[in-house]
Amino acid sequence: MKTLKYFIQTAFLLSLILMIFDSCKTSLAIKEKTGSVLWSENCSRCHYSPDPEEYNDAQWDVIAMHMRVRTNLTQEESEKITRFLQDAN
Amino acid sequence: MKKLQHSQRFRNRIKLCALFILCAVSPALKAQEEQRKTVSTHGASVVTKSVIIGYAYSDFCISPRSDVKTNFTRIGFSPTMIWKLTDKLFFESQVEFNTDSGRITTVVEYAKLSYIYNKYITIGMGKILTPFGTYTERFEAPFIERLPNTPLGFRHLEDAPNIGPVGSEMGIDIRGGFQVGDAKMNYDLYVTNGARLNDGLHEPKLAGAIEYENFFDNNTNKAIGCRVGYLPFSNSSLEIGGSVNYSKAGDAKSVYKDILARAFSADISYQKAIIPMKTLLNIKGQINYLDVDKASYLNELGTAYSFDNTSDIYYVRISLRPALIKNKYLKKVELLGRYNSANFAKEALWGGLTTRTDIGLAYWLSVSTGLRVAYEFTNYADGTTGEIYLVRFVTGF
Repeated sequence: MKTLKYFIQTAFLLSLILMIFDSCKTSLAIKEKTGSVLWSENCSRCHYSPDPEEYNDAQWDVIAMHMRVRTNLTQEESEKITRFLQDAN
Repeated sequence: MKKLQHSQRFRNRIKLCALFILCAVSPALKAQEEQRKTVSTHGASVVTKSVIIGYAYSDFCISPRSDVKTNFTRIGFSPTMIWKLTDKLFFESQVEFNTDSGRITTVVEYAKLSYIYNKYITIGMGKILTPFGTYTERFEAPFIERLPNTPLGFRHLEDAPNIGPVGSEMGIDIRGGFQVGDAKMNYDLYVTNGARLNDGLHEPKLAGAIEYENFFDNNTNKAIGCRVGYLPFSNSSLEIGGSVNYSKAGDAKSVYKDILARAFSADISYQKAIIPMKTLLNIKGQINYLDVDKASYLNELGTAYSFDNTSDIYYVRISLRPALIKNKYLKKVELLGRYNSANFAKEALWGGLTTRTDIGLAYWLSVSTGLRVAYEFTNYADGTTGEIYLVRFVTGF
């Protein structure tokens, strides 16, 4: 009886851990977000999103690094946003 | 014959020198030429990968209850220079020049060398904007702050108590952001010089007040702090954050050396497009709470007294901008409202509750240039009230 109790508890704990891990998996829709979507979602958290034409490619490269660190953007977000701004300017 | 040989040798030497000078100078000339070609708008250079961004603003104030009813009070110019040294290393510094009540002030707001260690960790050191809450780091810049003033208690002022770090400090931080499923999290951990306790010996009225811009530390103890932010929605529209900061605040070797200052903060940021109203909604808020160990101070008469040294400040700002409508003038208008409260330790000589209500309007000429107008009504701790109209013309570049 005691073994069965431990078994149930362990199984419950394992399923909980699996559920947490599974919920931590990023969905495809999020992974496939484009740079333009991320640009409009993230920049506007603090200020209105700037026009890509405001700066040239090299400038966006520098500004993106500054913004990534200042607002703790993920590396993927920062790279996609930079590529979008450089392609669109 | 000898003369001819000498002249030949002299000519060879001149040729060698000319060749040497040419070799030495030509790369420099080429680099200069390249730089000239690549320097483009906004002061950036492709060669050095540097850029200057920043903001400038000018303030006008109407005080109906004052003897001087109108005043051009302040102008500020603040360039931020960023150098990308490698793909992992960069330096940034912001200097602010402003005239406040006729005095010209120059301040290095922050200067920080950052190293991106990996996709989750960035290490920075220097004079850093303390990541305590979000206001100081993200919303304080006048072209980002929609109202022409700062929330009560959230701007560092000399000779005023700080309720948690609200400016910049000397120190080191480690930070980063990552996905947690479809949500996101970010973190900041930091060590700084920390708080300094005003013991009241030179300014009895400020005894027990805490100052965080402690650029040359008053004790060996360092402050430790962190902020954790959570963005539960996949579109990053909501961010909630919590911060803590622990620091021994008294001067080394003084009777106050073990006095501990514990600061806590909670912040919220939310923005949403309300499609039926064709309007953008933006909500920001932060509360700071500070608890300082009880201690005995001397008042102006030299009498010892003590008080419960806990204080809090908070603000909530709501803005609405009908940016999705067709009218080209109305879509540039943003309506603003903010409630501010500063509840300083009741029994302190600097204590009491002050509240302020700001109602304003911003007219955006571009994404970072605008005219802001606000009415500010304040209930002071001594029971008096004040009202001011503020106008600010600001641009971000």
